[in-house]
Amino acid sequence: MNDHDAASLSSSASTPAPRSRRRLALLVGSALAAAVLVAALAGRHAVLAPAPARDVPHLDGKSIRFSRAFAQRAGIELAAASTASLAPSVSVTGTVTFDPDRVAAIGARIDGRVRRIRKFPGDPVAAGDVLAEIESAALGTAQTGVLSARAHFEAARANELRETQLAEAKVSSQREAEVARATALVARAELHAAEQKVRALGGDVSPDIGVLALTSPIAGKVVESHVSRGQSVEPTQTLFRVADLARVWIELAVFEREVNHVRRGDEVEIIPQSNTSVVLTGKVAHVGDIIALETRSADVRVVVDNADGTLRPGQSVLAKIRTATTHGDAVVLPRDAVTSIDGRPTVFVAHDDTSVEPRVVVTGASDGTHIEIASGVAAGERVVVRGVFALKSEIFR
Amino acid sequence: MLSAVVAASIRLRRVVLVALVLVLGAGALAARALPIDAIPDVSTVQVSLLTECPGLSPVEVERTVTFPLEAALNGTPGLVELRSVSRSGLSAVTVILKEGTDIWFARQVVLERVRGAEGQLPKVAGRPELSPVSGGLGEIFQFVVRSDHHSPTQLRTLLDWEIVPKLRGVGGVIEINTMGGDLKEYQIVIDRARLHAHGVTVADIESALQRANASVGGGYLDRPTESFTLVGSGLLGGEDEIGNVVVRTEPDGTPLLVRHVADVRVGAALRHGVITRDGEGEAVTGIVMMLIGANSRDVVHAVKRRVGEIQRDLPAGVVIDTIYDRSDFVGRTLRTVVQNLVEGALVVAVVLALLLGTVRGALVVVLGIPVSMSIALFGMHLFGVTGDLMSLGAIDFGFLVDGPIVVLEAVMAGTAGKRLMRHARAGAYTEIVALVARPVAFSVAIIMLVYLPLLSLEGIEGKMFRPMAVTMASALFGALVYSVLFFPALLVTLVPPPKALGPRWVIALEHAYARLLPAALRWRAPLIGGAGLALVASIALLANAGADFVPRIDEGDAVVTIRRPPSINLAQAKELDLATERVLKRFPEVVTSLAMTGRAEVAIDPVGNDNTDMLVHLRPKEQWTTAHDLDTLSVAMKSAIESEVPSTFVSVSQPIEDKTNELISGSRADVQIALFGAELGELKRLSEAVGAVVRDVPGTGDVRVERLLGAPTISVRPDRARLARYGVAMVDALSVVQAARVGIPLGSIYEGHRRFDLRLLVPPRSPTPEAIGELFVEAAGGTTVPLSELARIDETEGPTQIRRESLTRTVRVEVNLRGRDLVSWVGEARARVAAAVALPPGYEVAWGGQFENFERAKKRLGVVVPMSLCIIFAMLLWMFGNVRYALAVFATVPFALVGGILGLIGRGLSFSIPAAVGFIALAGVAVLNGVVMADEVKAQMKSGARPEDAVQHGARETLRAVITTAAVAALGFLPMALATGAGAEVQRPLATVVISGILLSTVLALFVLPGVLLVALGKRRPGDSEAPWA
Repeated sequence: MNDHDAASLSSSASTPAPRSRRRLALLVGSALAAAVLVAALAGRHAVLAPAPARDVPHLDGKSIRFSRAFAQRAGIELAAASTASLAPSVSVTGTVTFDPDRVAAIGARIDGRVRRIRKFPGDPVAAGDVLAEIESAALGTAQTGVLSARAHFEAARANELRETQLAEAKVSSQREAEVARATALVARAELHAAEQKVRALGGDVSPDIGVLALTSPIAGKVVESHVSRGQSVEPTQTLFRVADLARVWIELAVFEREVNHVRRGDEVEIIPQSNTSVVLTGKVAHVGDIIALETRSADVRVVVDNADGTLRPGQSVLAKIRTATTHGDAVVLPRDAVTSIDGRPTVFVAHDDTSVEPRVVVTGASDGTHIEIASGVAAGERVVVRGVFALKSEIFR
Repeated sequence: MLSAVVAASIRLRRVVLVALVLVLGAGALAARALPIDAIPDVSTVQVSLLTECPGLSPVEVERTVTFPLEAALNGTPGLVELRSVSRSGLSAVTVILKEGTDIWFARQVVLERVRGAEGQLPKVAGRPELSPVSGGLGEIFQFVVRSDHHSPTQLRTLLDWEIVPKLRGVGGVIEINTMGGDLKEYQIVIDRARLHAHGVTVADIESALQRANASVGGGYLDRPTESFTLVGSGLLGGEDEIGNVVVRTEPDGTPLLVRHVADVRVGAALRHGVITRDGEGEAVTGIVMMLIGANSRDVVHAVKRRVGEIQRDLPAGVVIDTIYDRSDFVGRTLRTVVQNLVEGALVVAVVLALLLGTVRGALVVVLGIPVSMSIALFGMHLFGVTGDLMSLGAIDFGFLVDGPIVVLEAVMAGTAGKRLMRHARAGAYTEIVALVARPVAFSVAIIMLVYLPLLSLEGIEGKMFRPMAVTMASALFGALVYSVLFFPALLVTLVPPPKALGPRWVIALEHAYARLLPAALRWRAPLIGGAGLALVASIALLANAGADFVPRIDEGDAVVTIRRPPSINLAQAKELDLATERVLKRFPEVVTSLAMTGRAEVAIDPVGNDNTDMLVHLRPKEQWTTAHDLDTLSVAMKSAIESEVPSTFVSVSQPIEDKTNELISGSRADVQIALFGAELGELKRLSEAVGAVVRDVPGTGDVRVERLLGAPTISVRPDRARLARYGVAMVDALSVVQAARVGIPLGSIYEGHRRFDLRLLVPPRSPTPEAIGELFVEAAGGTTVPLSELARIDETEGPTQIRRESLTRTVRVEVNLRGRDLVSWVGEARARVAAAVALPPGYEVAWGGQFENFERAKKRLGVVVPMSLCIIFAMLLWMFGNVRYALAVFATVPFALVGGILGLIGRGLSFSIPAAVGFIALAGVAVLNGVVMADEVKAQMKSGARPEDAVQHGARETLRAVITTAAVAALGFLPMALATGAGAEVQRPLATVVISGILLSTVLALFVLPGVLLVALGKRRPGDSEAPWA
């Protein structure tokens, strides 16, 4: 720059001219030109391509407008508000127990020793299946008594037959025939008594003398066994427990505040605490009539179909009772559709696919996944059910 | 007196030359010892108190923690401002103290006062902790620890226990903040069902674990001659040991172990923040904080050396990556400064050689630069000025060599064509130099003095420009010393009289000027009038042009600050951060980006999940293709991110800028409109109204209305009647809430020297109020009750944070501007807000941010500028002893301003503090032209010439000196005006003002000043000039 300046100055000086005012102008002019040059040099910048247009939602009055691209990347989904009756649910933990109608405690009715065990815990059994064989002296005596009584009876019967034929042939007296019949009758009665004794001891007249076959009265599964081979047993002992787990009970203790909502027949969701991904359903079978003082709760019994054996007695489960006590139909939205803005529950109601309006609503009961809208949204109005957070953010912009 | 000094200098020139060498040597040493940073630290003297109080809501934190602390701190000696933020679980109180307060003293005072309030804090509150002793320039180095086959937890553990302790030992490092990954802790997760089955309570497990983790000292035992220390150690050390702790022994003798009823695992502490990098995944990072006042360049170098050593000891595959390195910025800034200085010196030398026609003379003049700089460095050391962009960047060598130039010119004019030998030369030179010494000394002294009122600037502008004033005044003092002390001796020794008086073209120029001058004198009235009109017009132009506080200094890296709704969770924030980073990665300018959302486990910043700072490391500016300046790039980034990532609102700043703004005003925005009042609801309404008004003001970039509400809360409030009925103690009911997520602390687990927390958790089934209600509380008599039976559990929304300033609640509306200057925007916005928003009694609005600083600076400049002018006039009066001369020379000052204003407007720069400094310097230089000419005229008058002749002669005689000094001063600043490197933003307006001002003022000095002098001298008769104060 200074070269340029200097050159213009020297050129003006080297020309011998009297017109001084023009010189003045020239001098000032060249100084200014230099200044402009400096400014131009400093301001140099390459021209850049304009930035792509911004694609952000904007507020238009009360509503938020956005592009389809925004709706896609923010995952915005719309759905119409539906009408449904939302049942309030009561959640309690409970314990799985046997259905009393489907459990059998099996014991020997006599003293004896375990000879053989036929079924072990976990084995399925049908009604009448033999669980174990028990040797019993008393049964043996009884069984042999049957045998002798039967022999007696058969002898008496044969005698009666013969005497009757003889009497008809008038070979013997009528009295002898009657005596023989009475003897046979007594023998039969004795046989019956002996057989009844065996039956009462739990045995039957089997080829094995003195062996009691312990059978299951119901079909199900052996869930408990308290015997070992050779063990001596008494009539008071429970040796096997057979249960049908296709249906189980769940005993719940529902706290007093909530027990009023629960009615017999209410549907119940059962979630084992050990595996929360499994959900079974049952029905309330009984609601207790008294509140226990120390726990301040009432017993509620639930019957659950457990055909695949998911539930095990003793297990603790979470039960959600869907109480049937509803207050009629209401507008219902997925819970995620409602967000809190400035402390007030708000729903984004759609004008169309790319324009929504935040609306303050009054919420009602919730069942965990859905929530009642008491006022603010009418049934059939389309609202944002997913991507609510992105829209909420726009209000916070 | 000056002539005596000059004579002595020439007589004792050997001694003087030795002294010169000594000064230069000492200068070199001083340069090496100078602390170097990029820009001055403008943060205030402040002490922050952070108090963690887990579980308290913002309102509770405010009432129970922040308020007692504020009350205790109110009235601290030297208190300037008291600010606080109460967030959920965290209270941050900042005490800002008077400028100049010793930071260690300040911390001591704050601690003493807080000690008294500690007793009033609730039990859950931790001890109030002081923030590290670090300022706005504190964050000097940031790194990421990465590895392909280590988990985030492992990396974090490595960072906390291997890397950080070693780095903390580096001198000048005060703290290393770590964040990211997972903070390892041992967790005992209780299984309700198993607990129930065994009939054990949570309290049983708690006490069992506490009793199982102990160490005792048993004193010592004496054997006949020796003593044995008796110790018992039973600290738990790992998952197995914890699992095998006995909870209870059953009647049959089988022990019930912890692992029977709970899962023992190594887990992650509850997080309050997340770090991601480059859109790829989570990262682990450490930020090195420098002790306030340390030398950043040295500390960063030491840190980098240590990082290299640590790297060698790390497990294979673990790599430490540098993300931010302050020394880059410092280096770039220094390069800009050094380049400008060297180029400036070269330009000066070339110009001198061309104009004076003597290379030797030019070199001797240029030698004044290192000498003046040496003396400037002594001054910087003396006044504790750091070498940075502001102090070193604004030095114009043209100013420094003005004195010697005038002397040299006079000597050459006086001795041209003569052949003088040693003694004759010394004699002749002494005579001539003695004559010009006085005007030279006065001129240089005037420029020097003009800088001094700048020292009275305060606040940020003071911190930025006081170093400049100190350095420049010291350098000019050096120039003064050089001109009268060293220069004459050097001249006599090294520079022979020239054969002719300058190059031929200069002589021709003088002839041309001599012919033009009478015309200029004849037309003096229109010329003076025209100049006056130009002055008025340009001032009017300036009033309409924009004004900025301090131009943005380009740091070379960017910080993308993201705000989101306060209710966002970390997982979502992380996903959005990653998406944002992927967008940034597409910019060819971006090397790497690191997003920090929320705060670390140990709180440093009182921010939540809604706040993300993304450090973006940029390539050198020459390689940029999207834009050529940060503003444009910022807009492009903001637009790209917001167009692609939902729920993400961006503002772009820079690392130091961001941190400094935060420290200074607690706000990072250009303009901050603060509303003060007592009721949160009313504040919310007002802030929204103000936000709506401001949004429509032209030039508004982005507006952010602080949201008071927005923190969703699940609140559990136990009912005392129900607690009584079930026989449950309040703490037991609430401990269930604690155990649900954060866990009940049960002590520490040691792994060698590493220490980890042990916590007990009883997690809920799902994150809903219903699931929290299902959690069990152990009641009296061994029964269990669900929490919902004992407490009201609600989902509510509370305040995210409550900020207070000077003990009053406040909400702010932050505005960043695009394409409009601060002052005019604020003027318009203020009027609109005043018209549209009516404030109820007890509520106030305050306008702050960068704008506030500008207002203050403007007020201060209103004092500084007249003061500088007064100094100039006083010096002139002293110099000439005559009001007429003083006035005539003084009249050149406003004319010089015209050029500066035109230059500023011509380049499209707005008025700013650096420009103001430029104007002050300009006034000083303009005076120099006038003084030299007027002194010559005065000498002529003294010798009996008529006013016209005296003026004509004086003007002609001083033409060369005027043109040379002006050209040198202007061209010396040219590299600075054209510079584009780091830090050039501050120098550009300053240099522009000086260059354009000097160009025009020189023309005016040559053609208008003679006329002014003639007018001033009036009808005075020759020889009358001695009449005082006419």
